[in-house]
Amino acid sequence: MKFRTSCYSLSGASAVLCIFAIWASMNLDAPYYLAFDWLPKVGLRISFRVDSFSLFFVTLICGIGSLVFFFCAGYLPGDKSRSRTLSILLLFTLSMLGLVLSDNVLLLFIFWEFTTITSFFLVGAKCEKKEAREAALQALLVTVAGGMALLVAILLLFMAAGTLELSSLEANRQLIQDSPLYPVILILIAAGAFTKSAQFPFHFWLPGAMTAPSPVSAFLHSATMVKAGIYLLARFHPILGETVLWHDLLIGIGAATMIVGASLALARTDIKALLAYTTVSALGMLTFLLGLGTTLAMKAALVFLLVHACYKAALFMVAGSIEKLAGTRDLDRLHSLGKMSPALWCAAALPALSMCGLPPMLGFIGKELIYEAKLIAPTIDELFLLIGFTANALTVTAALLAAVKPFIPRTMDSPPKRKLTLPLLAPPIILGIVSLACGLFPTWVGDNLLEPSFQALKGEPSQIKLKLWHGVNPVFILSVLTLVTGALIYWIHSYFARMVSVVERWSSPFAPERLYAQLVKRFVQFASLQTRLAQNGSLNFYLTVTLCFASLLLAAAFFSLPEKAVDLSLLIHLKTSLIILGAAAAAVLSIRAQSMLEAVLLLGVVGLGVTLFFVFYGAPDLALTQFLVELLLLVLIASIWSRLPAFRPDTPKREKRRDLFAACILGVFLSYFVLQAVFLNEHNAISEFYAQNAATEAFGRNVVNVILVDFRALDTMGEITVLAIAMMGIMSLLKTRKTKR
Amino acid sequence: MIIASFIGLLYIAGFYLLLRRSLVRAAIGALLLGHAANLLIFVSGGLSAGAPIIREGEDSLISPYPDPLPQALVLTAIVIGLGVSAYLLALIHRTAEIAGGDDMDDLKEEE
Repeated sequence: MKFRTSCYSLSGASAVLCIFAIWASMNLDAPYYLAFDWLPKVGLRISFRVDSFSLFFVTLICGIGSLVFFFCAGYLPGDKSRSRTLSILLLFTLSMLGLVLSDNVLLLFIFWEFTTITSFFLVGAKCEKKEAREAALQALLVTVAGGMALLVAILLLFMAAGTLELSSLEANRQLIQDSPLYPVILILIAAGAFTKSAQFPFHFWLPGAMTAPSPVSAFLHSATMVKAGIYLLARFHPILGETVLWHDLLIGIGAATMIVGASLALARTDIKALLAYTTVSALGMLTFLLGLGTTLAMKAALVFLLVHACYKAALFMVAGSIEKLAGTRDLDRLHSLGKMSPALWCAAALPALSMCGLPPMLGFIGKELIYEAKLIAPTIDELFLLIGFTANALTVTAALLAAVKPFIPRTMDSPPKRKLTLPLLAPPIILGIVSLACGLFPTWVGDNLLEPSFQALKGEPSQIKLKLWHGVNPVFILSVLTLVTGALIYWIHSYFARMVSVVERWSSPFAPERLYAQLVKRFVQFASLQTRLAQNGSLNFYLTVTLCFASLLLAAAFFSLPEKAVDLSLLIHLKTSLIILGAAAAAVLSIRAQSMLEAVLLLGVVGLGVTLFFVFYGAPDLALTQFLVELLLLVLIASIWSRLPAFRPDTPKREKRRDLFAACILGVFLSYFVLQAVFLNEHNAISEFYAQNAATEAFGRNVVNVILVDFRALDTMGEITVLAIAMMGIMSLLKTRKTKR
Repeated sequence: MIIASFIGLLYIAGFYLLLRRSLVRAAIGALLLGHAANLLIFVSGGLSAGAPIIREGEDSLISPYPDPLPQALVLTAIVIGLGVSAYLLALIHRTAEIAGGDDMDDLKEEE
């Protein structure tokens, strides 16, 4: 089948890239740079930096991506929009790779937004469902808001350091941290990372995004996209980190996210929602560790990143398979799946062991490191240790709920066995085996993958060896206690869940998702109000607004112009004054014209006045043209006279007075302008040029004429074209028959 | 002074008529505005008697002469103005034919 083939080939390509990334990470001594100019004026260069930290992420993205594409071959067939989903998934993978490899922060931002947009389409993949569309919009709005914050932060960063390359920003660390902009930059960057990585109080979009198909959840919402925020924070740790603000902000938010996510997880009965909340909790843990920022904490964060990606992606795939197998994801209705498909249980159990942190899985090592980091961290409150412990214990419970509860039988009768296809089973099992293998050979993973990326990030070796067995020490005792507590909570989880739901209901008016909904609603209301006000469809209104604005502009110019003596004794002859007065009277009368004939005649009088004006002030050509035009217009009006709509009584008096007032203000200002303009202009250089050269160069004595047909002949050509087009328009308007409506 | 007031007056009349609901009135307003704008450009070149025509036997204009540049601009504007107003009239005619009226607020209701 065609679709499956493309899935497999994409999977193969990602796998090759993943292996290549591991190989490169092992052999890379110094970062590799690749750059070329894009928009040099705004400092935008397409510049990439390949170092081991980037390669670590590339390994994660491609490794998980490979399995997800493989999983798609089993999960997506039967879905109408499968090809679209697959191609957007590919686009997403590429933008994610660009994100972790770019060196220029603006380029990073562009890829960042790309992941947001592709995520929007992926979450809304089942766009025929209303909740999918709403979830997609919610994810988009929240992450885009964070993206905007990030963009502002980048601009401020540029103001502070004068560069946009990550590598040179690191060199300017002191400059940035001393800058008065530093707190703003940090908070904005954190806002970008927190929205992307679903940190409290922005966590609510992630569980909502679970309407996406399972492969998408496995890829975006556990292993990669939500880790982009963590990547950003880790990248900026050498630049912005190790200050009190960084420390407090990340530790506080991380701890809050950890505990909120883990508690809410238990109150969910949808497996995917449950897993999503544990993801939120895990992301909180990562933020917390980055906030600690000690060598041990950073190392623990890297290990946990790998651990979490492996088990969470696997569990999401298992959730997808369960859905395929049983037709539901509701934990209250699922049971006895172990009998239906033992292989699936195996696929669920391995990652769940890692999630619980049982030896010999990699998860165990990760958890030990985290506890160790917390225990020896110099500046940490006992409260945070307790929070971390509780979150871990709740995570254990969640793992049991997700991977054990659906599989144990509740009744004696055994349901029929059902076989799942290979693509639905293999990827989670592979991920489980990877976790196991990494746990069994931690030294290899530590030396070849984690240590180089740590060095690339911090610029110094960590001196921490990964070991499976540390002996019985406080850390080990804590781990065991966590497991026991988790298991105990599992025993009473239904009470716990009820408790959490009560608290949730009680606090729901203050919940961030409620605030979000309110905000969106208000915004839409405001937008429609604004549209009603500004776009009410009345031409009169639009014109009045334009007019008032023009008056304002003129007024501003009026008061800023230097006062100039206006010579009132302008060359005014008696006859010109009379003509002007006549035309003015005609113009005034035309306002009050009650019939078409009257209006047209008065218009003619005005035109004639203007013509005579031209005659007296040295413009014979203009006078001639104006006269001809007046005549032509009269002919035209006469020709459609009978077919023009009749004059009708006009609008109410109040409206009229208002319009007249607005028009008067503008007119008065304009009069003053004319007065200034008459004295403003002496012959400028261009006019001088024409006056000098008309006869010698163009052999014409009428300078105006020469300008039109010689110097600016092309413009005149354009003018003729305009006339021709207008004529064609008129013809087509007049010729077409009256159409029936 | 008188010229300035005259142009201002033309603007007032033009704008006022443009704001009317009747399309025909609006068209007349547009024509008046055209006159006003033309005159504004014209007088901004300064006013003087005589014509920008080079006399026999001379090589260039003798000062003082009227500025030829605004005149050329205005000439173009007059001609374009004719095209536009003719088109406007045809449009009004057609609108009236189809919608049976020229009241803008009524047209808005009918869409």
